[in-house]
Amino acid sequence: MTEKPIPAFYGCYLLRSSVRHASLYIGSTPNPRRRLAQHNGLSKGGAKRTARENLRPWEMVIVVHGFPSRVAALQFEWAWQKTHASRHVDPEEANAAHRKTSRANQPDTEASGVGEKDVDANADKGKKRKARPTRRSLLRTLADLHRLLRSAYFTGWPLTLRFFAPDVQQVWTSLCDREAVILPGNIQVVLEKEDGVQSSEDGAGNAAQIRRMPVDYSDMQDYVGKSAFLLDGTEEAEEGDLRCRLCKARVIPNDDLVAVCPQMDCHCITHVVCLAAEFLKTSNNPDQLVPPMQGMCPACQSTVSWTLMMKELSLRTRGRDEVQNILKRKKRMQSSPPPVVPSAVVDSDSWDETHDLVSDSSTGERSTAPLNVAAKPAEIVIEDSEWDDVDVLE
Amino acid sequence: MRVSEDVIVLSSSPGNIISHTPSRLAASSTKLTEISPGCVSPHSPIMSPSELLRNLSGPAVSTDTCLLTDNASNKAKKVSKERGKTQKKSPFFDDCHDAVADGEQNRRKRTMDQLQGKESSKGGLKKTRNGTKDRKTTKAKSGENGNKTLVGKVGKAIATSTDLAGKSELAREPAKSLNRQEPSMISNNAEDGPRLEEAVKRRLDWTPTKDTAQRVIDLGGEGDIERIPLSPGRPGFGNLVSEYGFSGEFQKAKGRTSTESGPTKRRRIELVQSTVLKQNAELVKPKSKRSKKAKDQDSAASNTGQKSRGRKKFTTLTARVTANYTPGDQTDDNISVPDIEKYSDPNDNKCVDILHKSRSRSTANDIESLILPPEAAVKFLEEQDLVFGTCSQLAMEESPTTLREIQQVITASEVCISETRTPKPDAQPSTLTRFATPRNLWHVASRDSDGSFAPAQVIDTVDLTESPLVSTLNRDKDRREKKKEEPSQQAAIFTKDLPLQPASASDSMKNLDTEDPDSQASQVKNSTDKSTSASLEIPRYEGFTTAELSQQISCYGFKAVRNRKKMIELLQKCWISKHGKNMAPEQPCVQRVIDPSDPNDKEVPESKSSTLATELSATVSASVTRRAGNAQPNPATTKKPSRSQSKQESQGKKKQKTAPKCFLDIEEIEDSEDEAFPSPSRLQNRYNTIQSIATEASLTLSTEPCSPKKSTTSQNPDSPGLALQITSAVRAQSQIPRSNSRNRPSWHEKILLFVPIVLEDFATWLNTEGLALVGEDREVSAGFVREWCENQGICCCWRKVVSE
Repeated sequence: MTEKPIPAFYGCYLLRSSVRHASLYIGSTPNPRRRLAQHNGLSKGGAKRTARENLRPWEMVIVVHGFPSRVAALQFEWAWQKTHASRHVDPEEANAAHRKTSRANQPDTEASGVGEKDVDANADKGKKRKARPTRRSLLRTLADLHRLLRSAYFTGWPLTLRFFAPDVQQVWTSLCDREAVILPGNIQVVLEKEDGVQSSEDGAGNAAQIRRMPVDYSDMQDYVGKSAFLLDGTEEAEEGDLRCRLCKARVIPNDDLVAVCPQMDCHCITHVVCLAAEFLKTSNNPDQLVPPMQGMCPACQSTVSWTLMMKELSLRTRGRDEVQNILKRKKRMQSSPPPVVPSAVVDSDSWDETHDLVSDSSTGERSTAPLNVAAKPAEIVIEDSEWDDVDVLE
Repeated sequence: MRVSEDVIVLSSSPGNIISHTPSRLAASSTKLTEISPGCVSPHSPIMSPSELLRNLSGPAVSTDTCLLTDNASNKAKKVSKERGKTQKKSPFFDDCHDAVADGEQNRRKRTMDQLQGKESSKGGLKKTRNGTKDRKTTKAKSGENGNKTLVGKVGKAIATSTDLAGKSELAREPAKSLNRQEPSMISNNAEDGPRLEEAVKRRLDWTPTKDTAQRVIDLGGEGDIERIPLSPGRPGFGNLVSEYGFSGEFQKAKGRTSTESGPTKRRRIELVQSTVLKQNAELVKPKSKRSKKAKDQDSAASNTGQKSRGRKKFTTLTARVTANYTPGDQTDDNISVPDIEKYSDPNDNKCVDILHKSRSRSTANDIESLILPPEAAVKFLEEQDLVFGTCSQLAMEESPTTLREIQQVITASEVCISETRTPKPDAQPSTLTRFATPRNLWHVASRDSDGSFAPAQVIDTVDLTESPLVSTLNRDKDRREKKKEEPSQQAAIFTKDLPLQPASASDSMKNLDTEDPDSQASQVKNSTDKSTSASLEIPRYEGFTTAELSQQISCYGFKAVRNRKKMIELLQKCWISKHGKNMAPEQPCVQRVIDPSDPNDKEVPESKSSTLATELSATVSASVTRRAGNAQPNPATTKKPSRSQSKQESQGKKKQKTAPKCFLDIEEIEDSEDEAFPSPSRLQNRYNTIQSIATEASLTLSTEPCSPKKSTTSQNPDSPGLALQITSAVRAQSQIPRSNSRNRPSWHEKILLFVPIVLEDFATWLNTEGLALVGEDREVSAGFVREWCENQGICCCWRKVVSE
C-alpha cells in the first residue's frame, strides 16, 4: 500500500455566508485558501451548494485542522455534518443538549430567527431530515463540534481549532462555559486576529486571514533538513553506528522507523515505539497505545510535539518527493522568497482513495446514507464537502 | 412480403409460406435478425448475405439449379462436398450468389418464375449461411436457447425432420422430379442439415445415438400432426415420416459431422466424444440390432466394463460420477478396495474379504456379487470403516455422535495404516495419494501472482480433488514417488511433536500415542531423516558473500537490503516459506478452527489443537532458525520462542500484505491441507474448517457492509478482556525484532504514525496472529476492532468497497 505522508495541512471548515449568516456549510480541504476561492466562485470547482450568487461571498469562520490523514479529516467532516447520525456522539445526549441549548439561546444567536426543529419531538421524521441541514444554527453546529471534539474517537487527535470570526468565537466560549465537559487539553483553540483589511468587502471572504495559515511543509524545512543530515550525513551515520537513544540498539535509517528530535541542536534519534513508550510513561493508562501529543525529548529534555515528529517521519518514509521539494525550496529560499503555493500541497487532493472513509456512521447507515444524501434537496446550502465524490464516500 | 421470402427458406412450395413463417420467426428471433436485415430493409448498412446476393446480378439461375441438381443426384455426399466448397468460398459459391440474386429479383417481378427463383435463392442463401460457420453455430445455439416455447420446439423438430426426410427421399428417389424436388431438398438440407448435425453432436455429448434418432422421429411426428393440415401443399410429408427409418444415411451424417465440424467447436466436442462415442461405437458394432434404450445402456455398461477394462478412462464429469453407479464397473472396485484396505483394520477381514472377492471375480458375476441383498448391504455398511463422501455430504449428518463415530473409525484406520505401513513400505497404492495428489496445476492456478489464494473455490477444491475417484484415476508413477515422500514428512511432523505434547494431546493424538512403539520409532526415524535432509537443504546463507546474498534476495523479488544479517534472515524466511510450506501455514490453519457442531468438545480440542499447532510451528521454525542463530547470534534476541514467533510474525505479515482479505487467510487453511496424511484431527479440522469458513464468510460479509454493531454486541460479554488483549497483541508485535519495519511497519507503528487502520486487515491479523501472540484464543470481529480503535482514538476505516 503506497501511503502518503501525513499531510501538511488538512482541515475541516465551517463556511458562513457573509450575506446571510444563517447559511452555513461544512467542508474539508487541504488548502483552505484555494477552497475558499472556489466557494466564492473565483476559481473553478466550488461546491454546488455554495454556488448561489446572493449568498456570496462566503467566509471561513472556523477551521479545524491538524488531521493526520485525509481519511481522518473526511471522517471528521462527515461526523460534523451529520452529528445526529454519528456513532461518536450519543444521539440521546445530542438531542437533549440541543433542546437545552436551543431554548437557552434561540433569541440571541439566531440572526435569521429560524427555529430549532428538534424542539418539536413529534416532528415528522422525514420532515426532520429534510429540515435539519438548513435549520441547523450556528449554535447547534458549534455544539456538535464541541461534542465531537470530546468524543472518545476525536479527543486524541492533534487538532487545532481556529476561529476567524470573533462573534463565532464568542458563541463558542459561551457554549464552552455552559458545557459540563471541558475540551481535552490537546485541542488548541486559536482566535485569528482580524485583519485591517475587511476581506468580505472585496468579495473574497476572509481570504487574507485564511492565506496566512500555513498549509504546507514550509515550517518543517529546517526540521526535515536536519533529520536528513542526522541520519545520513553525520559520521555515525556513515559508519552505520546510529543508535536508538532509548534502547541503545543500532538503528538503520532506511530500515527502521526512527524519530528525530525536532530541536535543531538535539541529536536524539529514537525508535518510534521506544519513544512512544517513553511518552506514555507519563500517562497513567496502561491500556493506552497512542502517546500524548506532547512529550519530553529524552536527550534535550525540551517538550516536543509527537505529531510534528511523526509528520517528519512520515515525510521521510513515505514522501520522498515532498522531502525533495522541501529541501529544494529551502535552498531556493536562501536566495529568493518562498513561493506562495508550495508544490507539495498541490497534489494532496489525490490522497489515496483506497479506503472507505467513513468510520463514523453506524454500519446500518453505511448503506442508506448515500440515499439520504441523494434525497436531499439541492437548495439546501449547508452541507457539502470538498469533493463531489464525498457522497460516495459515505 | 419479407415473411414470405423467409418462409421459402423453409420449404419449397409456396403454400407453406403462410403456414410456416410465423412459427419460424417466433421460434428463432436471432435467426430472424440475422436473415431479415437483408430482406426487410435492403438498404440497411449491414450487408446480409441475401443483400449481397441481391446486389450481384447474374443470369446464372438455371445453370445453377442444374449444378445443384447434378450434385443432388449424387446424394448427400455431394451435398456435403458442396458445403465444403462453399465454406472455402469457391467460385461456385459466387455462382450461388448470382443465382440467388437473380432469383430474388425475379420474384419481385414475376409470379411464374417465383418458385424456381426462390428455391434457388433458398439454396444459395442457405449455403452462404453455411459458409459462415460460426454464425451458423450461434444460430443453432440460439435456436435452441430460444426454444422455450412450444412453438419453437415444434419448429425445430420440423426442421430436423424435414431434413431427414429430404435425405431419405434423396436416397430412395433420386430421379423423381428433379427440378422441383431436388432444389427443395438441397435447400432443406442446406438449411436444416447443419442444425441436425449440431443437434446430433450435442446429443452425442451425453446420450446414446439410437436414442437421439428415435427422439427426432418422435418430435417430428408431433410437429407433423400440427403441420399437416396447415400445409397441404407440402410434398408428402407423411411419406417422409413413414420413410424415415433410415439408419445408414444417418451414420453417414454422423461421420460427416465428426469430420466436418468447425475448428472452434471441434476441440470441445472431441473431448467428450472420444469416450462416449467410443463406447457407443463398441456398443453398436457388435450388437447393432439392439434398439431398446434400457437394454442399450445396460449392455453398454457391461460391455465396456468387460471389454475396455484396462484402458477405460473417464474424461467427463458425468462419466466419473456415474461410474460409481454402473454396476459392473471396474473403477469402482479399484477405488474402493485399496482404500478400504488401507483404512480398515486388517484384522477385520470380513469387509476386505468381500471386496477382494468381488475384485477377483472380474466377470459379469461381480454385478451380482456387488449388489447385495438389503440386509447384507446394511450389515456391510455397518462393517464398513470408512464413509466416503464429499465433505458436504458428510456434513449433512449433523449428529455429533455420528461424527465422533466416524472419527473413531478414522482413527482406528489410521493406526492400522501406520501398522501396516511399516512392514511393507513399498506397497504404496492410492489411499494416501488422494490427499497428496500433487495438485501442482491446480495449486498454481488457484493462486494469483502474489501467491495468495484466489478466492472462490474453497469447497469445490475440497470436493473435487479430494474425491477418491479423481486421485485414483490420476494415479501414476511419479505421483507415487512423490506421495511416498510426503506422507513420511507429514508423519514426521506429527510424531515429532508427540513427545513434546504428551500431556495435552487431544483425543486423536492419544490414539496416535497408543501406536505400538516400533512403528512409531521407525516413523520417527524415517521422519527425522526426512526433516534433517529437508533442513539441510537450507542454504547456509552465512557462507555467502554479500553480493551473492543480495542476488539471492533479488531472486526472491525483494529490494536490496543493506544489512547483511537482515539479508540472511530474509533469505531464510524466504526459503522457509518457499520450501517448508507445510511448516509455517500450519498455525493459522489450526487456530482458526472453531467447532460449532460439537458442543461437548467445544473448548478442549480447539485450544489444544491450537496450542499444539503453535508449539509445532514454533519448534519447527525454531529448529530452522537455531542454525542461523548459532552462526550470528542476535543481541536483541532474548529467547528462541520469540524469534520463532517473529518468524511467523513476519511471514504472516507478508501474507497479510499480499492477501489482506479475511477470506484469503482462511483459504490458506485449505492450502495446508495438501498434506498427505489425513490424521483424524486433520480430518476433523477439515470438517470444521469448512463450517467455520461458512460462518466466517457470512460473518465478514455481514460486518463489512452493515453490521458490526450486531457482532460487537454479541462479542460484548468478553469485550473488556479482549480489548486489553488487542492492545497487548499490538504491543507484542512491535516488541518482536523485525527487519525492515520501515516498509512493513507493525500495527503499533502504523498507529503511532497516524496511518488509518484498515479494520478488515487489522482484524484479520489479530485473528490469525496477533491474538495468538498473547495467548488469546478468542477471535475478534472487525466491528469489535473498530470499537477498540475508536476508544483508543485511532483513526480507522473500512477498506473501500469498490462495487457499491
